[in-house]
Amino acid sequence: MPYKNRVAVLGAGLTRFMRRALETPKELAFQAASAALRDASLTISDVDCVVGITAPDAFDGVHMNAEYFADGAGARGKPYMRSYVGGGSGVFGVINGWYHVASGDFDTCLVVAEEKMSSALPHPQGAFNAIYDQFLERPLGVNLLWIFALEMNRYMSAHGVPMETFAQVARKNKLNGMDHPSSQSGISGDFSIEEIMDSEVMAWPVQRLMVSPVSDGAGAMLLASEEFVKKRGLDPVWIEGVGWNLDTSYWTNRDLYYPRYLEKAALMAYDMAGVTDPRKEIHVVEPYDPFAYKELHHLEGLQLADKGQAPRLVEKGFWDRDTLAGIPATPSGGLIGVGNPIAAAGMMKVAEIYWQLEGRAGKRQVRREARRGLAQAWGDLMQVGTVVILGK
Amino acid sequence: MSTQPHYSTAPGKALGNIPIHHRYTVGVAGERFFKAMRDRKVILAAACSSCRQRFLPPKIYCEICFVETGDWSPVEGPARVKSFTLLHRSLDEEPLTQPVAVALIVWDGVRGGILHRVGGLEDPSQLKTGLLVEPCWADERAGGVNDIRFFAPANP
Repeated sequence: MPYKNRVAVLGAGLTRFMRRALETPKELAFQAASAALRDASLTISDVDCVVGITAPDAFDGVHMNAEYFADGAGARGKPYMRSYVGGGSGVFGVINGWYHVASGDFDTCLVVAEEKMSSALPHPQGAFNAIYDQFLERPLGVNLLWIFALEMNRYMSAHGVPMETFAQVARKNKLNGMDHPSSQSGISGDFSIEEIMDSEVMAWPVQRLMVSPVSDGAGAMLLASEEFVKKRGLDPVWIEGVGWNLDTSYWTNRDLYYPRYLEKAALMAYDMAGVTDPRKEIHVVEPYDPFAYKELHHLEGLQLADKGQAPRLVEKGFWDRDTLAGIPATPSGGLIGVGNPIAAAGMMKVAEIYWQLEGRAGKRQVRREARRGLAQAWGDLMQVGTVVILGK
Repeated sequence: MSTQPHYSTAPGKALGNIPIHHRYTVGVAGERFFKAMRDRKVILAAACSSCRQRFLPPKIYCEICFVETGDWSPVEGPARVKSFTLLHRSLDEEPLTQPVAVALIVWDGVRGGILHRVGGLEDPSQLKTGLLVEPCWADERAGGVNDIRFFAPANP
């Protein structure tokens, strides 16, 4: 291994996810960061450096948002770095934190993710218009939903996936989210397939109950070197592999039915973790699920199912939280069942794998034995995949 | 209010904007701070529950100890100009007919301070580092930084 340090996870913390938080970005960051420190039984004086993560500044409405909330992330007087790959940021921040410690430069790193989407009016989707080409696309009034609807249509057409299957994914995640203490009010619940299928069409085939909500929230994680861990006699969860990759920046040049960006990111992480047969060696997974179809799309990109097979496995309960023969996917409830404060949602996914491997996921604990898990996020210009593999 | 972009396109160029509007929450600490200004005409500082230092503007946490703040109380005594400038151009670089005085205002025993305009000066040359000042409160207060019209030289 070319890195100086193995890197462990010593704690994680989340705020509640909310449609509109009273708290400022600084206050949300403080709540999550101090919760992670408490979870790790450490104080700010144990923190050698801080990584801050937040998706577009346009949501919070503060230019240089990660610098603005840095004191709430505990970064005063410490080396600080912002990581940013849009929706992929939550997991990318953990990768960045991993580098800080793996490099040998720091013994500990506090990674803090914050997002306050509610500030953007009338709806944060409007902010997404400005990520598109200012000549070809922005004048048409494009937002993310357009492109995801095109991608979902391409995916379901290529593989002949019925809408019911996507509704089943949404139902599973909303049920799982009922057991997550951070779950946003009204998001999780026991929704019937009919209710989900009958929900408002936003941009066909994308429907309201198969999309993650607008959310405010924060999450944080404390990473430490092997030496730091040994001094304290701990038996922690380790970061075994990290990977990320970009497909072409221009979305028309991607074949929308399959996430190549994620295949490459996953292979990088599997290689680092020494995973040769992910379907056997990954025991629990948190694929990025801002849309129900994206969970399946991403499970295929992660090589956990053949192309077009992730939907077939839904029907067999292969991805259910209580599966014994399959791989539980999104036991947290995910972005659909907990909420989607973008950077914090990715952090929530890594935290879920951490708590699952520690056996501390409470009612969300998977039934099968879980010694290795994977968290993934996606975003940027919809071309980035970010992957972290944890093991115990 | 809409985020529909307004474009005027022609070969070679496109005029556009990033059409985003915001509604900010003032936050847990901010609500308390600005309500006190509006309702009681006082400027609150918050003390760290660990190091006991008082901070302005007050936050829910001490950024040094990284624990919650406890006691909130108004700053007392005269404020002091720690540094100042005289502005000769607007935000859009338009010349101003009258220079505008702004200063960093601090209180003894309180870490931090607030930025504000300085008014009521007989002459701009009166504005000096160390000048003792006091807030001139607006009659109509909405719970914002402009509830203070400006800081004026303190009456001795």
